[in-house]
Amino acid sequence: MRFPRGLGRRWEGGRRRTLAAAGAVTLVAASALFAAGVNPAVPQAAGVTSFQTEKAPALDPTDGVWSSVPGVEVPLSAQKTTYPFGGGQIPAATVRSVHTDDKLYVHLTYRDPTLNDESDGFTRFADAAAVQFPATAGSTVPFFCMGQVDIGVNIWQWRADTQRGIPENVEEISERGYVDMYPSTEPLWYSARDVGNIMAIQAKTPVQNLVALGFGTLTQADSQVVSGKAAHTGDEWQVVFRRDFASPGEGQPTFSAGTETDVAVAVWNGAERERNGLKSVSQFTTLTIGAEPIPPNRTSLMFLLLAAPFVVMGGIALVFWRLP
Amino acid sequence: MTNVMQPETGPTDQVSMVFDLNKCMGCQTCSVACKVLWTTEEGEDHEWWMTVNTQPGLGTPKNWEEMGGGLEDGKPRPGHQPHREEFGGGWEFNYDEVFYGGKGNSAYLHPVDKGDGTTKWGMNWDEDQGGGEYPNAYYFYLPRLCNHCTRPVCAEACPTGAMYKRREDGIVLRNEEVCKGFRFCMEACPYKKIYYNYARHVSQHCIMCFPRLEEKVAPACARQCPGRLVFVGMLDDEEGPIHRLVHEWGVAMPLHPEFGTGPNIFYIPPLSPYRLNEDMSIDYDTPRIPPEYLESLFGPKVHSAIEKLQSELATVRSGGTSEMLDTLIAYQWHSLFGPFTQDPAELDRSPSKVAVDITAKPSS
Repeated sequence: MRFPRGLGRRWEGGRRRTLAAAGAVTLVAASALFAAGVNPAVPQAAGVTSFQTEKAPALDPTDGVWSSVPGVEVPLSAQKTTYPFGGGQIPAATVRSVHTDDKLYVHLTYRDPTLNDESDGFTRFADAAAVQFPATAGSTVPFFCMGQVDIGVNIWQWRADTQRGIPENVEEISERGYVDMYPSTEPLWYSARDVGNIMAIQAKTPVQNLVALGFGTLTQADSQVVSGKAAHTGDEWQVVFRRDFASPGEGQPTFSAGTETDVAVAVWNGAERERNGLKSVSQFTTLTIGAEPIPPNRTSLMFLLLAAPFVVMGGIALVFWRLP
Repeated sequence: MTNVMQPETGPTDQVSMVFDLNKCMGCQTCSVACKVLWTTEEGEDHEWWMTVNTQPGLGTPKNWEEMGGGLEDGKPRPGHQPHREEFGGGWEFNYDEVFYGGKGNSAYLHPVDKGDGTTKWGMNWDEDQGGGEYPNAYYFYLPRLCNHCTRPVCAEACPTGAMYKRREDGIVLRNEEVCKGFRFCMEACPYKKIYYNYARHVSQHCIMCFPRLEEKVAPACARQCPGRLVFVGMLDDEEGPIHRLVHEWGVAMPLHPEFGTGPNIFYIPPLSPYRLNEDMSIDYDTPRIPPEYLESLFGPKVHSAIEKLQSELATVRSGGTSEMLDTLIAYQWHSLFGPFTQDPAELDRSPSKVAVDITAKPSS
C-alpha cells in the first residue's frame, strides 16, 4: 500500500513513535512488577517461598533482610466455623519467609493502627498473630481450623502481652488495686503461676508453641522452642517467628530445604476484643522451602530500573525523530 | 467448646447450699472468711468470691442483674463483661499526707481517686439503702457466691476447657494450667461471679472450698457464719435439710431461675413486716417487701414459699410444732453441715516441705 509521499511518511513516523512508546511503557511496567517482586505469570497468593540465606537474620522483624524478601499477601476473614464466631477486623497479612541450613523464619506484616500489649485490664485484650503448619507435610492438607483428628497442626502464636512481660511490681499494672504488701509467699497460693501456666509466668519467648487435633484440643507443646519478636511501627505490626528445622516433638513438623508444606495465618486485634476464636484467619497456602537465594535488594534496584526505560525511550525517540 | 451438660459426663452428686435470708444480718463475716482464705494475693484485690449485698440494690459488680449472660436455647448468651470500676474497691489512701505531711489535724484520711473508678463503687457500696419510703422502707441481705450451676454456662463458654463441673460433687472448677484468660466465662456468667486475676491473667471464682470439703470441713463462708443461716450438704440426700427445704417443703429456691443455668445455691425468701398506713396503723394485708420484687429475684414459686413459711409460723405460734422451722432454726449447728462437720483445727495440716509428684505411681 502506497500513501502519498507526505502522508505515508507521517503515518510511518507516527507508527514508529507509537510502537516506541508502547515498548517503553511495557518495559516500565515489567520493571515495576519485577521491582515489586511480582511475577505476572504466577497467580498471586498461590504460595509462599522461603528463600535460602547464608546469613541468619537477626531475631528482629525490622531487620533489613526482610525488605528484600518478596512477600505474598494472604487474605484474612472472620472465623465463622465454630463458637465463638467472629473477628475479621484485619483483612490481610503479608507473609515472607527465609531459611538457613537449619532454621526457618516466617515474617508477617499487617495493618493494625492500635498497639495493644496489655491484658492486665479487665477488658483489655492483647494483639496477637500466629502461623500454622500441618503436623506433617503431605498431599492431604489438614482442616485449616485447628486441624483434624488424623492430621494435626502446629501453631506458633506470638502475643503482644507476653512480649511486654508481666510487670514485676503489681503497682505498675494499670487499673490496679493498691496494696501495701501481700501476706503469703507460698507458691501454692499463686495458682496458675504455681502450675506453670504460660499466661501467669514470665515466659522465655513471646511465641507459644501449640499443637491441635481439631476444635477444643489446642494444647501447649512440651517444648516452647519457637522464638519470635514483633515491632509496632507506624500503623502496622511486623512479626518474625524462628524455629529449628528439626521437629522438637510430636505433632510438630520437620522442615528441610527443597520441600513443600503449607502455612496459614491468624491475627487478633486486641482493640476489637479479639481473642481465641474471635480472629482473622486464612486458608492454608503452600510454603515452598526453596533453594533459591533472596533476590537482590529490589529497593535499590527500583530507581535504576524505573529510570532506565525512560533513558532508553528517550534515545529511541531521538533516533526516530532524526530518521528521514 | 466443652460440653459439660451431657448426661454421661454430668455429675453423679451435687454439693449444695441453702441460705436462710431471714437470719442474715449482713455482717459480712462470710465475705471476710472467704477473702482472707482465698483472695489475698496479687491480682485478687478486687475479688470477693463471697459477697453480701443489700436488696433492693445495684449489688456487685454494679448493676450485675442487668449485665446479661446465661443460656439461650441451650447456648451461651454473651453478656457484659464487668469493668474494673464496676467492681470498685482496692483503694489507695493518702497515708503520706496524713502521717508525714505535717498538716496536723487539718489532713484527714480519704481514698485517693486514681481516675480508674475504684472509689466510685465497692463490694458493699449501697449497704442498707434498700427500697421503699419512710415509714415503709425495707431491705434485706442477699449473700451471693458462685452458684455451681447444673448447666454451667461459664464452662460452656470456655473455649479451652479450663472450666469444668467436677463429676463427683458437681463443683464448678477451673483448670488454671490451661486457662488463657480469654474471659468468655465472665461474659457468659449471668450472676457475674467470675473474676479476672489481672496479675496472673486467669479467671478465678468460688471453688466451694473443695479442699475443705474433701476433708469433711464445711466451706469457710458457711462455717464462719455467726447467724447459722447456711446449710451445706448433698442435694440428693433425701434425709438432709437441703433436699427437704428445696424439694420436700419447697421453701428454698434459686436466685434468678430465669437465667436458665440451674443454680445449686438456694435461698429461703425473706419474710416481711406489714406496711404502715399514713396514720401509722398497720396494714395487715400488705407485706412491706413487695411480693413482685421477691418474684423478680426468685421466680413465681416464691409466693407459695412465703405462704408455707407463714403457715408454719402460725402453727408454732398457736402451740404446734414445725419440723421445717426447727430445721431452719438449727438448734444444733452441726445439723447445718451434713457430712461436713469436721473441725479444721483437729486436722493435721502441717505444710508439705517436699514437692510431691502426683503423677508418680505408688511404689509397691
